[in-house]
Amino acid sequence: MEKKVNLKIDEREIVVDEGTTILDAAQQNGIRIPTLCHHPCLSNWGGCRLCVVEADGAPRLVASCVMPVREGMGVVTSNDRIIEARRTILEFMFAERNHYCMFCAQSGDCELQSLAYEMQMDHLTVSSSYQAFPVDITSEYMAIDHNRCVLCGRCIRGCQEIAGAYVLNFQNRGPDSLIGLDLNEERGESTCYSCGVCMQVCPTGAIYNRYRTHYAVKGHTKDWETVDSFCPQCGLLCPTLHFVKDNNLLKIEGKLSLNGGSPDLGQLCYKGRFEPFKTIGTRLLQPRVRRKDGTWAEETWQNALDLVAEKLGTIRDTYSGKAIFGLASSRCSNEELVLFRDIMSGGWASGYIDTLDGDHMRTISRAMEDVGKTFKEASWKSILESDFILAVGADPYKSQPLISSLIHRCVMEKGVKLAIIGKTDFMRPWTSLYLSPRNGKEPLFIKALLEEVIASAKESSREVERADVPGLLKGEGLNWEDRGTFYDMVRIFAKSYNPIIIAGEALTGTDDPSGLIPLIKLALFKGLLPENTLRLIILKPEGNSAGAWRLGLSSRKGINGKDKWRGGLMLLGGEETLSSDLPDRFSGLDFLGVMSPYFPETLADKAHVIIPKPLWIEEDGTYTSLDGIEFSYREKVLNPPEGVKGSWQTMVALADRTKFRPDFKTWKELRKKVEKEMELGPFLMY
Amino acid sequence: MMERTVSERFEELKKNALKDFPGMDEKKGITIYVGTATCGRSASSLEVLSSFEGILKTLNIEARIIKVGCHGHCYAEPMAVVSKPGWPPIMYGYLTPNRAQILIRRFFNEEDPALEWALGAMEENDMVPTVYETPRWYRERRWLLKNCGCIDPEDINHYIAVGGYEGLTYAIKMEPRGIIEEIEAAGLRGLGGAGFDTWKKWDICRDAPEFPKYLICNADEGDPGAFMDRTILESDPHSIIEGMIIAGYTIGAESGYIYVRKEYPQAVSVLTTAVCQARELGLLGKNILDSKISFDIKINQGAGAFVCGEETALIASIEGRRGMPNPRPPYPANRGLWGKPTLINNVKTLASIPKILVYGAEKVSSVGMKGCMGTAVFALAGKIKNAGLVEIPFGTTLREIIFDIGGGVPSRIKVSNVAGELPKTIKKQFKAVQIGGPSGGCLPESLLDTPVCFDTIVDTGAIMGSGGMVVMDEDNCAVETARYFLEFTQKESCGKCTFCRIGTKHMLNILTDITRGAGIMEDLDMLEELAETIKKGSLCNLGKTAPNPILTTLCYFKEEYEAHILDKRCPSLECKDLIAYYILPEKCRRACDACVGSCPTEAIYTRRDRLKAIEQEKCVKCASCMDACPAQYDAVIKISPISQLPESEPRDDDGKKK
Ligand SMILES: Cc1cc2nc3c(=O)[nH]c(=O)nc-3n(C[C@H](O)[C@H](O)[C@H](O)COP(=O)(O)O)c2cc1C
Ligand code: SF4
Ligand code: SF4
Ligand code: SF4
Ligand code: SF4
Ligand code: SF4
Ligand code: SF4
Ligand code: FES
Repeated sequence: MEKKVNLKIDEREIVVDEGTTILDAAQQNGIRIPTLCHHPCLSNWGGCRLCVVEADGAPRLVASCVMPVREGMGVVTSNDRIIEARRTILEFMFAERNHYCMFCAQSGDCELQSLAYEMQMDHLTVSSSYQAFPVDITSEYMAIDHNRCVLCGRCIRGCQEIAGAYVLNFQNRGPDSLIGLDLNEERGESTCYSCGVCMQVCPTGAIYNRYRTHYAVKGHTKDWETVDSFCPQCGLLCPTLHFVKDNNLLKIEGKLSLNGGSPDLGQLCYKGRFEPFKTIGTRLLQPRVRRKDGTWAEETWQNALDLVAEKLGTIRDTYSGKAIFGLASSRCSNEELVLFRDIMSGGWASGYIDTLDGDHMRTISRAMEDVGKTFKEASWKSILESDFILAVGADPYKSQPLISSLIHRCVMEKGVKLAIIGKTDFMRPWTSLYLSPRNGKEPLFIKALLEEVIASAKESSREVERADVPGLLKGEGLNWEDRGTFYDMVRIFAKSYNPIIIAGEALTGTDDPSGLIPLIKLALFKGLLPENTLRLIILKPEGNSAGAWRLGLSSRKGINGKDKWRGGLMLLGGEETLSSDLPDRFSGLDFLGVMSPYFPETLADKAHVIIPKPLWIEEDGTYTSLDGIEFSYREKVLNPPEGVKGSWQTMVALADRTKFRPDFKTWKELRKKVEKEMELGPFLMY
Repeated sequence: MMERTVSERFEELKKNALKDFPGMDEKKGITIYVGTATCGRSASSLEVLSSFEGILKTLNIEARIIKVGCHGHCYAEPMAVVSKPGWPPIMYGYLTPNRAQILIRRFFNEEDPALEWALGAMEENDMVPTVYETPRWYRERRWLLKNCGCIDPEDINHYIAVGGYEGLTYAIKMEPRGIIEEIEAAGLRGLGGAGFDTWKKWDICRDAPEFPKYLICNADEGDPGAFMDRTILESDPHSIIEGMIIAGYTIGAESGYIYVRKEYPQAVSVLTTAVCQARELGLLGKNILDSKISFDIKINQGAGAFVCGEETALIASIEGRRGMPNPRPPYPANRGLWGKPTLINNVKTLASIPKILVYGAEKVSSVGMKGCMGTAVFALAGKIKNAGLVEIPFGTTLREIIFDIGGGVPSRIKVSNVAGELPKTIKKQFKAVQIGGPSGGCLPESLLDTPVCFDTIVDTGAIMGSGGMVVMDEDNCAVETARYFLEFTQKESCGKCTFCRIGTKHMLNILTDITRGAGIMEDLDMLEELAETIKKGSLCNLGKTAPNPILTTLCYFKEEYEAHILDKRCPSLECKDLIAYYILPEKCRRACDACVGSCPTEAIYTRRDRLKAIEQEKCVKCASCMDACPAQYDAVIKISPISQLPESEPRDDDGKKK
C-alpha cells in the first residue's frame, strides 16, 4: 500500500498517495491549474512556471507540476499574486517571439493561445522585442518555426522518451536558446525519424504539419470530431486518434500512453501520421472504360460493372476458370479480401487468387515447411524485452518504421547490442556490428553464423573462428575488418540470453528460402519463447499481409511470377504504388479490370475497366497484425467522396451479375465469416 | 589493531615526506619558491622562474627552485620567496626577469637582500620586518589558504610534510556520526554560496537508504571575478582530496567527482597529478592506509557554463546531459547523480574538513561570529589597491576588508610631460562594493560596517555567494554596474524557465535604455515589479538571484537612476551615451598636441584661436585624449548631460576647406 498524504488545496481536504505532485493531486480532485511545459506522458520538467501555486512552508511560488505534496500542506492555486505571475509568464512568451496568431498554422489548435484566452490576456505590458529566426522547411512532413517556440522542451522530451530518437535538444543559452536537431542540423539533413511525436506534443505552432490544410483548422478545437481508430499501413496497427471537421481530416495523433502503457508508448511513424494527408494521384469518382483509341471515358457504374461481368464470363466460358485470375493488394481489409476471394472463385471459378506480395508469404511458408515443425512468430513487442537484436535483410524504417524506433530505444536506453546483416542506411549508425553483403548474399552469412554458433556451443572453450569467412567475404563486397565483426556477432549472439531476430524483405523477397531456413534454426538454437513461439519476427511487405495469408489468398500455390498472364484478371488495388514489373506481366491479358481509389497511371494502357473504391480511411474493416496476434476492427474516419461506392456494394453488385450467391447476405454476416476464419487455430502457425 | 596499522602506515609516509621537504628551513640550503599558479603565470612568473634558473647557473649557486601555488597576493605577482641560510625567508613581489637576476646577484654576491622589492620576511627575525606585520596580512586568518604558495602542489610529500592527511587518520579512527558532530560543532556552512549547514547535508546523505552514493566537489567557480577555488585547486589540491576522502567515508560513498571547468587547465593538470600521487601512496583507491575504507576520485571537466555550478545542472552535466537545473525536491542528497544519493560540496567546504579535524571544532568555532564560525575567503577585485585573496574570520566588517586589508581605493595617477614635474595624484572616492558576483548585490559606503556573515549579508540584499568582492569607486555608475551583471546572467541563463530566460532579457533591455538616456520613470516601477516576479518564480537560484544587482542599486542608488532618466545625466560620467568629452579652453595649451595624436578618429581639431576642440560627431568616447592630456593642463573633461556642452567654436581651417 502506498502511503497516503493529507493536504488542503484551495481549502479542500484532499488525500493522495505520497509522492504525488501538487498538480496531479489537484487534477485528481477536479481542480484546474494551468500548465504548459507539463505533459502527462512526459517526464516532469518544471520550466515554464505557469503552474505556480502558493504552498505554505515554501517561501516562494512553487511549480505545482514538479512539487511533491507534503503532509499537512496548504495549497492556494489561484489568487492575485499567482494570476499576476502567470500572466507575466504569458506576456513574456508572447513578447519573446512572434505570436501573430492570424498567420500561424496552428491558430485554433494552440495551447498557448488558449491559455492567453483563459487568462484574459488582452495586451502586453512588456515590450515585445523578438528577433526573427529562420523557419526550417527542409522536411517534407513538418516545419519548425522557431518564431513560435516557447522553449517548453516538450518536443525534446517526446523525442527522447517516446520516440527514443534523441534527435532534439536545446542549443545555446539565455535568450538565444533554440531547439535544435542533432548538432544543429536542419530537419531534412538530420537523423530525425519524421515520426512527428515532437509535433504532437508541441503546445504551439512551432512544429506543424506541412500537409494539413490550415484553413480547415482555424477556429476552435471544440468543433472537432475525434475518431478512435488505428493505422493499418504496415501491420503494427498502431492506435490513432483522427481529428475531423466537416469530413476534412485535420490531424492524426498517436494515443500517447503513460509509462506502463503500450510498449511503443503510443507513438506513430511518418506513414501513420502523414500518409493519409497525401494525395498520391488522380482520385477516381466515376468508373472509367478504355476506348478503342486508348483514351479513357467515364462510364456509369451500371455499365462498367456489366462490362466486367460480361468480359470475365466470356473468358471463363471460352477457356475455363483457369484463365481467370484474382490479384489483391494486402493493404485491403480482411472483409474486402474475403469478398474478393469468394466472388472471384464463386462467380468466375477463378483458379488463381493471389496477393501482390504473395511471393514473400510463400517463401516464408516454404522455409517453415523445410524446418518441419509448426511455430508461432514472435510479437514485434518482444523487441523491448530482448538483450540482443539481429536484423537480417531488414530495413524496418522503410517497412515498419516503429520497429526501428523500438530498436533504437533498446540500444540507447538499455544498451542492447544490435547486429545487422544487410543494407540499411537508417540503422547503420546505431551499431558497429554491421555487415553488408552484396545483394542476395545474406544467406551465406546466416549459414556461417549458424555454423559458428553451433560449433562454439559444442566446444565452449575453443575460440570460435572456423567458418571460412575470409572466403565468404571475398568478392562479396566486404573487407578484412568485417571478419572481426562477424566473430563479434557470433560471440555476442552466443552469450545472449534473450535474443530476437528480425528478418526482412531481402530474405522473403526471393523465391529462395535458403536464407530464412538457417535463420529459423539460429532462432531455435536459443530455445523457444512460451507458446511455441520462435525468437523471430518476419517483416511483411503490407499492412494486412498476415491477414491475407491467413485467409488463404497468398498461401495458395502461386502464379509463377515470371510468367505473363493470359486470360482475364481482376486487380483489387490498395493505396500502394504498383511494382514496376507488373504492367509488363499484364500485357498478355485479354481483359484487365481494376478496382482502385486512384487512377493507376502505370496501367493506363493495360487496363480495360477501372472502378473507383474508397480509401482505407473511408471504409470499415478488420486487419490482422504483422505477427498475426492482433485482429482489430476499425470504423471509417471519413466518408468517401460522393458517388464512390463502397467495396461491399461494388463486389456484391458484381456477384449479382453471376450465378454466385455468397454465404453472407449482409456486411455483418461477412464480418462474422471473417472472424470465424481468423479463429481457425493460432495465427501464422506454419 | 587496525588503528595501529593506519597510524603506522601514516607515520611511515610522513617520515618519508619529511626527508624530502625543504621547508623554510635554512639547514636545507638555498631554496627559491616561485609562484606559478594561473595568476602568477599571467604575470609571466614562468619567465621569472627561468631567469632565476639562468642566473643561478651563471653564478654557480646551488639552489633548489620550487614551483609553488599562489599566496593570494595577486596584486604583487610575480612573487617569489628566497630562503638563504643566514637570512629569514624573504618574500618578494612585483618581480620581472630582470629584477630576478639583479636580486640574486645582490643577495648572493653582495649580501644585500634588495629589500625595496621585498614584501617582508616569512619568519620572525631581527633583520627584516615580516609580512605578517603589514595590514594585508595581520588581519587575515589563514586556515584554508595556509599551504597556498608555501608548498609544491605537485608533490604530495610537501603536503604530508606540513601536516596533510593527518586529519584523515583521525577521521578513520572516528565513527561517521562523530565526524558529523564535530563538523556541526565547528559550525561549518557551505562555502559555495548558499551557506547551508554542511553537517545537515552530510547527515541527510548518510541517512539516505540507497547505494551506491556519490560525492561531488563543486569546482566550477563561474562567478566572474572569483578565483578562490582556483587558487586552492592549483596551490593545495590535496587538502580537497583529503576532505573528499573524509566526506566519502562519512556518508558512505566510494566514488567522488571533482567537477572543474575546462577554463582552468592548470587546475586540471595539478589535480590530475595530485590524484595520481595519492593513489600511488595508497591514499586513494581500495583500503586507504590499509583501513577498510575505499574511495576514488574522477576529474570531470565542465565546459564553463555559469549555470553548471548549480548542483542539479552540474549533475546533469556529469551524466552527459545538457547542463540545465532540475527542480528540487528531490534534493541531490536523496536523489542525485545517476539517481543515487549525492553529496555536493564546494571546494572550500571540503578543504575545511581536514582542518576542522586537526584543529578541533572548539578552536574553529572560537573564531568568527554567531551563526558563522571559522573563516571566509574573498577575492578582492576592481578598484582596490591590494587585489587578491583574503581569508578573514567571519564577522570582520566590510570596511576592514576593503580599507585595512585591501588598502582601499587606489588613486589615479596622471603623468606630466614636463621634465621633473611630479605626477599628479587624483584621489578617488569609494562608492560601492558588489558582493557575491552577478547574483549578489551592490552595497554603499553606509553599509560598510556590516560584519561579514551569510545572514547579515543577505539582510542587505546581497549574498555571500562564493566570495567575489568587486570594489567600485566614484567613476563607476550604479546603473551601468547593474546592467553589466544582468548582461552576464541573462546570457548565462540556461533558458529553461520563462522568468529567468525572458525576464532577465526585459530587465536588461530596460537598463540598457536607461543607460542610453531613453528611460522613463515608469521603467523603475517596472524593473522592481519584474525583479520581484523573477525572484519569486524562477526555477533555480540563478534566476532567483539575478535581480539582486538591480534591486540593491535601486535601493541604495536610486538617485543615479533618476539622474539618468530625468536629466539624461550619468553622475559617474561612465555611460557613454550620456557624456561628452570636452576640452576646457581655459586649460588647454594650444602648443601641446598630445590629444590630437591620441585620438583614433581624428575628432580633435584646432580652433580659430588655435586651441583644441572636439568634433562631437566624430568622437567615439574612448577617453584617449583625456589620458593623453598632460597632468599640468588636465584640460579634457567629461560632461553630462550632453546638453550642457558649450557651443562649439569654429575651426581654424573652416574657410579654407569649404
Ligand atoms: C547559478 C549557480 C551557480 C553556482 N555556481 C557554483 C560554483 O561555481 N561553485 C560552487 O561551489 N557552488 C555553486 N553554486 C551553488 C551550488 O548549487 C551548491 O549550492 C554548492 O555547490 C553546495 O556546496 P556547499 O554546501 O559546500 O556550499 C551555484 C549555484 C547557482 C544557482
Ligand atoms: S503559436 Fe499559438 S499563440 Fe503563437 S501565433 Fe501560433 S496560435 Fe498564436
Ligand atoms: S519527428 Fe520524431 S524523431 Fe524527429 S525530432 Fe520529432 S520526435 Fe524526434
Ligand atoms: S517546438 Fe514546441 S514543444 Fe518544442 S520547445 Fe518549442 S514550443 Fe515547446
Ligand atoms: S508503424 Fe505501421 S501501423 Fe504504426 S503508424 Fe507506422 S505505418 Fe502505421
Ligand atoms: S532560473 Fe534561469 S538558469 Fe535557472 S533553470 Fe531557470 S532559466 Fe535556467
Ligand atoms: S574621447 Fe576618444 S574619440 Fe573622443 S576626442 Fe577623445 S580621443 Fe578622440
Ligand atoms: S507546467 Fe509546471 S512549470 Fe510548466
